[in-house]
Amino acid sequence: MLKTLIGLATFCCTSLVLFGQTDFNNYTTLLSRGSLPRDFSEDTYVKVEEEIRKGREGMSHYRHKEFLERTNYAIDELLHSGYITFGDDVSEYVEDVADKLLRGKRELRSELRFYTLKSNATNAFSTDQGIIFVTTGLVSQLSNEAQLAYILAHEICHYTEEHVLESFTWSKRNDSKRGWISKMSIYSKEREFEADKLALDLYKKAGYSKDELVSTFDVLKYSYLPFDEIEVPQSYFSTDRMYIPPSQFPTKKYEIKAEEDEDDSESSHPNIKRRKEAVLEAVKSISNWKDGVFQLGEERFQRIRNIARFEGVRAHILDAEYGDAVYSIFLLEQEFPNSIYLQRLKAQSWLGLYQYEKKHRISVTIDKSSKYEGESAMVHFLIRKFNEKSMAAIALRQVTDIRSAHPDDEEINAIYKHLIYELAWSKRFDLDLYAKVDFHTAAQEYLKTQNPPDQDSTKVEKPKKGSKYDRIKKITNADSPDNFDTTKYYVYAIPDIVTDPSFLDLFNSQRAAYEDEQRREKAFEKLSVREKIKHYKERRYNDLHIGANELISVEPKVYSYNSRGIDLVRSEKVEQRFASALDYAATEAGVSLYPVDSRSIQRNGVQGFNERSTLISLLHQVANEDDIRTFPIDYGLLKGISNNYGSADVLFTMVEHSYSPEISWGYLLYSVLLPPVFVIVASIHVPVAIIQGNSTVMSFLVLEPNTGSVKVADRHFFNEPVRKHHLGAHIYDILVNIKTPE
Amino acid sequence: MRIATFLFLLVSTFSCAQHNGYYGKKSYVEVSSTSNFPLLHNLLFTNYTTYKREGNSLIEKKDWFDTGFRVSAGYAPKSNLGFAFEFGMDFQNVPAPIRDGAFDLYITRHEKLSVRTMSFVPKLEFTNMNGLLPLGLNHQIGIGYTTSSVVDKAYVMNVDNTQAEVALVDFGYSYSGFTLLYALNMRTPITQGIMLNYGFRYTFNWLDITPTQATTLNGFQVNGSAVGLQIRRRRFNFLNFNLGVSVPF
Repeated sequence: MLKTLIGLATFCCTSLVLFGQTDFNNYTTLLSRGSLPRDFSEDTYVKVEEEIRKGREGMSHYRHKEFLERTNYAIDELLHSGYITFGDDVSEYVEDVADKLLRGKRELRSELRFYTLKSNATNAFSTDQGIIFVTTGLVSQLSNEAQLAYILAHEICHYTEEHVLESFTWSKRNDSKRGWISKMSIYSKEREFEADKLALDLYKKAGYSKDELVSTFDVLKYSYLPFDEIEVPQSYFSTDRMYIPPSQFPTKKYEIKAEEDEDDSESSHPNIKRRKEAVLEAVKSISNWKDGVFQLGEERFQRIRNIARFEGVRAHILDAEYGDAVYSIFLLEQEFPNSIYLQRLKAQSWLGLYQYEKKHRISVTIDKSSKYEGESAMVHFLIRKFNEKSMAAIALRQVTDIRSAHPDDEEINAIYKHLIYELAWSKRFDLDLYAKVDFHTAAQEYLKTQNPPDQDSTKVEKPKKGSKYDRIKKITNADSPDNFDTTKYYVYAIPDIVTDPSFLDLFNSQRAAYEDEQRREKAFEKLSVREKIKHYKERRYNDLHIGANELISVEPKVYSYNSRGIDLVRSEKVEQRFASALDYAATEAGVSLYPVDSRSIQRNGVQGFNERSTLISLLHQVANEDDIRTFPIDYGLLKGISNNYGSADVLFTMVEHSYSPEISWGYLLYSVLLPPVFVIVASIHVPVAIIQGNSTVMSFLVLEPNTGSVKVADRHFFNEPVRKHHLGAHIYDILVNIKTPE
Repeated sequence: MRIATFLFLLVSTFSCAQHNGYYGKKSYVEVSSTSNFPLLHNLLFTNYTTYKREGNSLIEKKDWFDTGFRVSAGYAPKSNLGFAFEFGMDFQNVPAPIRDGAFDLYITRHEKLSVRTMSFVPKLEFTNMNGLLPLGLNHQIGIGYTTSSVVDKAYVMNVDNTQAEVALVDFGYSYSGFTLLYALNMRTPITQGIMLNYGFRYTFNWLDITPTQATTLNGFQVNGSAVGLQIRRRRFNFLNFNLGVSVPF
């Protein structure tokens, strides 16, 4: 008995260690774990050269090289994009399902690697190299483990049948032939049918139920919708603290229009109906099915799916899809009402919505009305109804309420301050517009004025005493019952906030800074041309001089172009030169540079990889909209990185280069026909074009990791080649300027 | 006023940031060789034959390649504006103008005359807004002083079809002139401390060939203007290629 108990306890502990528990209340985004796989540590050109040496049957050397370069560089671009994780809970789960499918196929199993792609696209895909990517979007939509097993089996069959290579070879043979697109579409669909059919064998042998096959296609059919369909009550937005009248909500339900039998003539995949029919037909000839649905445990599946759903919210915010983010948060709050992570993301969503509304770009963040489907349509409908004033009120209401519930949370406080900054730096936000009473109090006051105590109807009412100016002040006073207007419900949304001294302090100090800036800009307009130039030069000088002598340098990127486009191999080689130039220049300039790139992750392992992914996500957020200062999605992780490197700012660099002397063939032709012209062309045009043929653009960006604000953004253009010390000298110049204080 | 504003704007578009040169180095010295192919001269000016010494005889042979060298020192106070001073030496050969009365009528053939030209050219260097002088692509303009003279040495000549060697004694005249220069130059580092510089130079050279005193040449008369004209024609070499080494400091 005792032995049994000990054994059970050991098993439970091991399970906890192996399968982990996820703290969804204090969730952190998926990070990679374990040792760095070779896929991530090896240079692409090394991988390509190794594969070229192995050769490929039935393929010429040239074609093989072209195929390898195209596929390897594309895959490695994805691997290093910041969206991929390995060794995390989701990847491990996927690998465990794959182990079930490939039991008895050890060699095949050893060829395959499974990584998670943090994206809301509902997708899984395999590569010729044996990597299978599964998106968090896909996992979030699944109902059970068996569906994942079938999808994985399908992708494994694409790999074993070499469909990627076949498609490449086919497209090369048929490129530019008539009807190429429709033929390619037919060819691709045939591969899909083949994979669907072959996958059944792996799926069945792993012991999964045939009843889940059809539901797998339902997942694909409805994948464009959120991961659940739950009605959002109006009371979710219209609360005691902020009343939103029913007129702002949709009066009808939006039907779900998903079709199984859509036109797939130009698509690479058959439509759902045809795939279902083909699979059901194939199933008829297979017998002895088992009925496995959760071979790894339902609890574990649900935990993994919830992780994917939490990642889904993060991905929505990264892509500024705030409408979808708000709805997804609502769904997750049903199960995780105490999750501070969700509250942080909710606060970020409302901040983002206000920022986009302020820039009149709200349509980017929500669905078009023609795309309204299902329960989430209510959220998009409501958000679209808001104008800047109402959006300001609801955003402030939401964020303040979240902050009140979590007053000690650093991130929520930072979001709150960011929102106040955005409000204060908008000339259209007027605090006086908002009443100091809530909607219900205002309504009652209004009703009192409409229904005064009994009075003698025979007596004529004399005009009230008071001056014209008293009457004007009454009209403009939001608190006055005479001005009560149900259409301006938002005016009454933040009475406690507009009277809160701490809010007013923060707001007024930011507003004062904004007004100072406005005054400076007006004064600038009045300057003479000479003074403007001097001012511009001083400002440019100060913009570069931020006094930063420690920088985290993230993945310096090089794009080297030739006449056919990006020369991937040369770009990678020049990147190494660029990284070396960065190190050298930083040493010369006396700036401490902490590289977080492909080379350093080989030294620093998974920690370096995770840091790089987090910093690249920051860059993506900033790059989304360059005039909107979005709040960093991974605030907590960025703070950790910043502390790790001594509060350093983050440097992103990129170089684009091409050598293309602009020799005019027209001039050359004329010069042959007219000898005197030949002298000019040969002695002036051609030599100048040859020497000036290099075109190099170096872009650099310095971000503050805690706020995502851009401290320095500049581009240098020069007609020089991308040799180490050309790059190094320019970087040295930039770093010395950055190091100098303002 | 508008021109003043334009020029002010032009100058003020030059770098706003602190200028750090090439890893902090803003000065440089430079040594280059120059070369050109005197196509215009050899194709257009054919009234005199160029003779080259071969052993003890003279053969007809034109020079198709002229060389020289330059030594410069420069400083870039701004990242895209610099100043330099250049000293140069060109080595050319011109045909002896024996039919112009420059030489005694009895001379039937004369070895080509070696000419050496020194130039002193102050230059302005500039590049685009993101340039980093002395590194990289730069434009140079300059106007300078030149002085050309025939080298004193033993030239071979034929007198009445017999051969004799004669030392050109005290030709004694230097031809002054000026040169206008535009160069498009690239300095590219080969190590941290040394740069390769290469580019094309476009020059316009003018020589003053006012008549000189006839100088006795061991019994033969020489017309300095005719010799000067040959030098002027030879120096009408529009395009030169330069290749050298720069050391920043």
